[in-house]
Amino acid sequence: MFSWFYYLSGRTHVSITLLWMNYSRFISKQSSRRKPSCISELRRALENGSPSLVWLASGMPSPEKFPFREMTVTLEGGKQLTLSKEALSTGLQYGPSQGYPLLRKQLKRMVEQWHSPPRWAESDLLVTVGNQDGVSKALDMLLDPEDFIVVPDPCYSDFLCMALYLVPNSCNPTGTNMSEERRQEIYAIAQQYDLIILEDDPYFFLQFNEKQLTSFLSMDVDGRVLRFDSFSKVISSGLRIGCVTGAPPLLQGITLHMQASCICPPMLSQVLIHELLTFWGDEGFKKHISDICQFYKDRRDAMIQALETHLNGICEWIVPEGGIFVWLKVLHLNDTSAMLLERAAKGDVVLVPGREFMVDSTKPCPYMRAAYSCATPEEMMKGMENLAKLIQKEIELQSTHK
Amino acid sequence: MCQPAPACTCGSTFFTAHVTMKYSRFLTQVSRNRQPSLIREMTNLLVQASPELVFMAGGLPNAQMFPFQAGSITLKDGRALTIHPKLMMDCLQYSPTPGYPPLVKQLKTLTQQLHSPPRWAEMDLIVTAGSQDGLCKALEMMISPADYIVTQEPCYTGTLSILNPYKPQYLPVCGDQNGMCPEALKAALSKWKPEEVQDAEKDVPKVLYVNPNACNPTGVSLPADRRQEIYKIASDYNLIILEDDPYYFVQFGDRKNFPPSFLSMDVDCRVIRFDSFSKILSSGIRVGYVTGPKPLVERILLHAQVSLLHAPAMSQVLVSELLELWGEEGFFKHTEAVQAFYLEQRNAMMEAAEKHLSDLCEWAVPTGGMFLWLKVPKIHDTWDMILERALTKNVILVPGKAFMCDSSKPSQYMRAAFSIVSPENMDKGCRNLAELIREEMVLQKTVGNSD
Repeated sequence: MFSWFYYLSGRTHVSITLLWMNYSRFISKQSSRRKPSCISELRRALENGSPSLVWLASGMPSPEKFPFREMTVTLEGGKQLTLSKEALSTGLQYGPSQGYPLLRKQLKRMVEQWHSPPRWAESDLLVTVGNQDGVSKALDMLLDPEDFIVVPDPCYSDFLCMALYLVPNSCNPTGTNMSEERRQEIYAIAQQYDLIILEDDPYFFLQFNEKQLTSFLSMDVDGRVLRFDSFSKVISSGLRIGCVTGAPPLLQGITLHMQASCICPPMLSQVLIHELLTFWGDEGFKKHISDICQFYKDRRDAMIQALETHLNGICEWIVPEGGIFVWLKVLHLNDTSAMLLERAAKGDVVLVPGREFMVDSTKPCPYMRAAYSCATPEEMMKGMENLAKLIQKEIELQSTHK
Repeated sequence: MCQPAPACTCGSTFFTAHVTMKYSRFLTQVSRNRQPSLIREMTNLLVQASPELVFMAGGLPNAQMFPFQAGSITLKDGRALTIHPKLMMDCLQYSPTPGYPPLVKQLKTLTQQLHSPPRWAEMDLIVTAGSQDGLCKALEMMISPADYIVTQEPCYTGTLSILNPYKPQYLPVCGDQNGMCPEALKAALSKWKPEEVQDAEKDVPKVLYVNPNACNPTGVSLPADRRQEIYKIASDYNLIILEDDPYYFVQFGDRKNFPPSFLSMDVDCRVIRFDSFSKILSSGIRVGYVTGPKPLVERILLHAQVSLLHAPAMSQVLVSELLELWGEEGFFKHTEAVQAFYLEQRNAMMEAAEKHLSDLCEWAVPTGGMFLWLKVPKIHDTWDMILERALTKNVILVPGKAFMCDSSKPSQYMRAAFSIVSPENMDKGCRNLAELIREEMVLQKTVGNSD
């Protein structure tokens, strides 16, 4: 172990002890038994082979019989991108489980630029089939049955199910951002208890304030963070592309699981994103993010206006600083589930009951989650008007029953 | 479990008893614990909703902000698929977990047409990110650590890599030039009496994995009578049959003479079938599909809901548009062209093998697909020969051990793929392989003598 003073740019001196993590203790029994396929081992031979090597090993289908010859996409603004023959061919064939090499290179550059991870030289990055699949495989890798996991409550509902999972920016469903001080404190606690931190950050690019908060990856002096990034909110959700960054011993288990399941992330999706990022360059990408942030900020503002117009005194909320959700507390109801699941559709407004996001979903919960990503300002105004009526009716219904 | 009933009306002539399967017996605890995602379920409300409904329950990003607006794909036959802006939105936005609805509809029609599953009304079909992801989720749904699994041997390495971390108790079933031997299957299960295990939940085999056509790695296919026998045995022992069939469309011969799938004879509703487009349309786009009993397909769906969410939407849209453009006739015309290509490749491979390897190796002529399974009777184990010495002879194949359930045992086999190698290189490769084998025989003798 080594200690020295490490100057983090723009921040005060801190004392850091450089830790060599024992990763094997985090890996579940099942994951530790995963092995690379023989064929992927043989592929190394290709690297050392002569040009005369006759390769009869892999079961790749022949691309000659794939029926697609050319692909062009039109971007916003009318610019057309035509995939080269090689790029299309790559998009149509099996690829490495870790991801399309050219895209990985681009993403590594972006992660380095955005986060300057302190142990970047010892980190790696994999492309995943959407960031949720990355998180799912990371949890499979880390958790044996009945292991403990620390999660925020409320928590993104599809995950409830050694590790600390958190969504530091525009947390789904609360829309809140974790403050700088809390991030540092939580990292210190994770160090104290030797936890892996799963930093799930799909709204990283959807932050409305100029100042970027410190990611856990960027303070990760120990190599204990697995960071999950997503393009689902900014480029496409349907293409199913995300990425995970972290220490290679932790990524290995995810790669091997990927090899056994999807084989590789969708190649055509990866090629398209690579072409787009190449076309945009850094400036184009920053402009796109800036446009997206403005778009969602305008939506957020319209949502807050609708809330203030119709729900003052009926609900409470915190104004979200990013993302697409607002978390509402109904002041005079114990629980929102029955109202939303049984009566809301008839009332012409649907939100998600807060109970869905609680680790213990049997307890009553007065919260609900509204998404402002797709509704127009007019629809939001109408929706909140409907919601106010719905809540009033529910309060009356409850006092009738009493 | 089996109740006497009037003769089954499904058209099958094999069995008359109507089986009511109890599917929970096959599920792991983790799989049983899976719950539907309320948020995904709530999107179903949209279907019945009035146009006035303001839907704020989904977490969909706004697709207006996605940078691709339209697209076009030109096919090799010169025709084009146009992705207009509305279709591009379908490509770029989150999709339902079971699959892009038009594609699901098309695949259901195709499956019904090709297989006429006898209990189709009790089955479901979902799109997966490649058939292997469907297979992986099906196995994860049913196998717990140390469980039994009945499988063909040699077995596809992808399946072994899913299973090995569970340290399962393999019940390997050997085969011959006609695939898995029903007698060997009976022998593998002979430790138990059918009536003892049919309803048991623990410490009994419950799952059978099989590649019925152009098996990877052996390249051979099961004839109809063997399929019926295997189905009967699976029925007696109450096994779920995992029919992994990625080479269905690259079987050689007239489509009308293809042997019946396990799905087509599934009177018990115990088959989960995995189909793939990887060999005929594209492997990189990651689109496959799984068909099976609703309660089991639902479990796979719930797993997908919390992991990859759905197969890539653009890939699904492309396949759907292509199938629409081609129609049934165009689709089968294409599959026949693919089949003809692989047949030509196989013939070139056989020529090369006969020229260089006939006194050194044995093999069964592949009846489909892309693999030749070679036995080297005079070599004890091909592993070291290939991993340590083959590179110097400029030829690489896969050693047979990689396909064995017990990888500690030696294997005299090796698998050669003939999908993407030219006839010239096949000739060169077989010649190099012959040299490699001859040198290995000498080495083996030398080592033997020096003991």
